[in-house]
Amino acid sequence: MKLSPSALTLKYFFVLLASAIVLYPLLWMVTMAFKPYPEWTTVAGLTWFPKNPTLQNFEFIFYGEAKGLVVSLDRTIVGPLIASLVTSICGTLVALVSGTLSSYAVVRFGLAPMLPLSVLQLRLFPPLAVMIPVMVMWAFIGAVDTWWGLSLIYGIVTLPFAFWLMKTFFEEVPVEIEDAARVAGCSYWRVFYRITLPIVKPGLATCALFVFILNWSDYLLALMLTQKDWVTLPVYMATLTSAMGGQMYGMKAALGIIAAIPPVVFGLMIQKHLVRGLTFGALKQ
Amino acid sequence: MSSIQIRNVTKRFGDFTAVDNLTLDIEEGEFAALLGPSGCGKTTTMNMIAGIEDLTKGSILFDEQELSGTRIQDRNIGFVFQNYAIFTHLSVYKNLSYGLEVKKVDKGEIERRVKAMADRMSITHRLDQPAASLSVNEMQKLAIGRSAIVEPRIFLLDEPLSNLDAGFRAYMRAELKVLQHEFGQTMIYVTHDQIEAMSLADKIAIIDQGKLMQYGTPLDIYNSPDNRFVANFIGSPRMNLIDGELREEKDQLKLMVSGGAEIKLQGQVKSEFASDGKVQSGSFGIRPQDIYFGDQRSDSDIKMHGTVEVLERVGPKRLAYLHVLETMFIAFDDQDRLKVGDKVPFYLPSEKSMAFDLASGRRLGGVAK
Repeated sequence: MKLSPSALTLKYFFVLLASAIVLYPLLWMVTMAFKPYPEWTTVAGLTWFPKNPTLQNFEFIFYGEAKGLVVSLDRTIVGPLIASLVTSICGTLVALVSGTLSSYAVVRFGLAPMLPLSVLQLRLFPPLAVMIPVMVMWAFIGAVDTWWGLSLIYGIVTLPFAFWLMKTFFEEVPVEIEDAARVAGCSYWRVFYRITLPIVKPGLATCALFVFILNWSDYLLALMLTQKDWVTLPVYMATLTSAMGGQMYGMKAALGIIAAIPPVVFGLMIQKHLVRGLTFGALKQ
Repeated sequence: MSSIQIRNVTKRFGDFTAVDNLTLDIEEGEFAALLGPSGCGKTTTMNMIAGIEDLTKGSILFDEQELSGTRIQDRNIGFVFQNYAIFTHLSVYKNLSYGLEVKKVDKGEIERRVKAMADRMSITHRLDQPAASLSVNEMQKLAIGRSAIVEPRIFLLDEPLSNLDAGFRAYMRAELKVLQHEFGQTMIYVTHDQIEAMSLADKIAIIDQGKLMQYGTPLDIYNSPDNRFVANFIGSPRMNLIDGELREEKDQLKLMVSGGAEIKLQGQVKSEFASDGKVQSGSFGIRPQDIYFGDQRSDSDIKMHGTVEVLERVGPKRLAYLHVLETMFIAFDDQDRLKVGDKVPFYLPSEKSMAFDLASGRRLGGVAK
């Protein structure tokens, strides 16, 4: 259908408006990261773009101090960045491996028919409701403020997502494809990792990204279960205040940019699969 | 190449009996079709032969050797699935070579056999492409090639033609027959299409509700069906089957049909109906092409009078729908003289008529003619 010029103008107006609403906060974060201290306080009046662009904010979070700033940090971004990467990736692996194996067992072999609902039940609790018992348990097994303790809880909390996502992907694979492989001489295990898993690879990639983003942006669990060695980025970000300067918006913006990079890179890496994963089910029957 | 013996096989899914005490012997090198309506248990039977489904009771033997202990991957079976089950994440080449790679065949040998098979199936130009990009027709060829390449002991085909368009289906039907000759393998073919079964198979097993109805050559099954189900199922247009009560009046055995029509039984079909004195209600069967018009050809032929209700052209011939009160007979208008509304006499040759017991569906009076 061809739109009249006025309708087309209206359409583009709304598209632009929608894009502006989405992009404006991002733009603000990016510009603020490059503004020196006086520009991100309201004293100077708000500006769209930095008048004196600077890398001061990045310098500050990486080195704990920066030229021209009187405040300093006792912890740089490096530790939390590593902690976030390690725990998010390990937590994703835990959720993905256990979610994939268990959902395959349920879908293909009809094992534990009650498992899907009981896994879902994990999500029905607000994490806060079980946080205190978890803290006690983690303290008891010495898992507080360790990379594996945090990874483990990340894996458990995101398991329902991985399980249910993978379940729908496995359900889409025609059982005849597996039968064909078995008739050709494959064992169950070989059918799983040579046939089924490659077929659901787009699903696996999508699932990994979802779970990774969930883990990456977690605040509550990391706040409760870490103290100093394995503090993650979101928790670290919250600590970026100073008694003298109040909220350190410039540094937070710089941190926000850095925190946004891994999910974006990960997303770009698996982009090819992502489209397939989100449109899964279009298998030729 | 192997022969297959299916002995008293039963398969239950919960309370539902999919296959009921099935016994079937398939000779080495034979092309056997399992034919029946949807949901009759033919695919389940196939899956049990392949080892995809376990048996509830009974046994399946290859060359008289019990198979229950043999794992599916060690049975050396070629299986073509209804939806082809192509490995869409692999290339066409990898699909063909898959079974050979699993069996750890030498690399050069794999390449030689894949090329030969691709050539045979005329998909050589597609070898390097992803299998997902193939058309349905090419997928069909690939599915057959993939199964044939490992030179299996037996070849199972589960409705392989049902997803194809009409033109290609006819082509593939002829092609399959050629392939069977080339491979010389024992083949079992599941279908609900009697034309496929009739044209391809050496022997047809007709299955209904998990039970074997008849097993024999296509001609045998067509000419002398064992029971009413087979008579009704095989043949297009279908056999006329007239159900009614048997009544003896003044030495004349009649089949009284509800609605008032009656068939005065004579000759061979009369003795068939009379052969079992206990039968109260029967079913009279006659194929449309056996009914004739004009002059009576034999004294034992049964004369009827009917009104032509509809004339339908089927290719070069016309089908006449004849009403005798409320009973309808379908016949071929062999002389092309009928008009709608005509009241005409027609004849049911007693030699070609069949008698069935309505209650059990069993053929009366001995099957062999």
